[in-house]
Amino acid sequence: MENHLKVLRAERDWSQAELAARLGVSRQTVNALETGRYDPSLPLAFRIARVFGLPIEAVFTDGADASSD
Amino acid sequence: MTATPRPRGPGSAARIGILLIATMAGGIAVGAIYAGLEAAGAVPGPLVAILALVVLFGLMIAGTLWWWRRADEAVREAHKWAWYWGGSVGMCVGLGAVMLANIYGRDAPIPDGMSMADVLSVGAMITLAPMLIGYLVAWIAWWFAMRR
Repeated sequence: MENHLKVLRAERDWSQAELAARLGVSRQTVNALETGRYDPSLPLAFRIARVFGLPIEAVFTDGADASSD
Repeated sequence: MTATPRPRGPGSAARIGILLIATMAGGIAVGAIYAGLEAAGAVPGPLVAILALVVLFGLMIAGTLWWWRRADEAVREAHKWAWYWGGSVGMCVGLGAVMLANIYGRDAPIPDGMSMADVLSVGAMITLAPMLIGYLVAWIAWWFAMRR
């Protein structure tokens, strides 16, 4: 799974620590999410989408979908 | 947009710090109490010692539960992964040490100045230490792998 966390966070001028505080997770977790090496659970994915005010599919994309575009 | 959740209480690093300091303080207190009892010639019997250990480890598990309930999912995942892989590999090393001891150490004498209880304690630690080391190494490896 791929995500646009880093871009969305940069657009809002939030630090990793600030995003972590908004999500209620550690900064290390935000870093792991941004690298794409760690896929969040569904509840956290929905929370992330809510924090950015976007639908979940605007934040996360299936790698298979991206390659078929 | 709905309200975003905020972390409850102290941050993740602060919680680990609190847990470590509380554990160290508990250990120091137990050591001091035992030393005092030993100096007074009033070392408690096994039943009291077992009860004290149950209380101490109960407190430790309660503290860990407090920390676990506040840990986020990646923090938990790192520990679960470390427990499984680090602990399993460490267990293999420990079991290997036990098997080698059984094969080659049957006739080994008890070292001077050591009792059978000392030898058993050292043996138990030899089986535990690789699991703890494996856990730590795997935990560091998990977080390292999550970085770019």
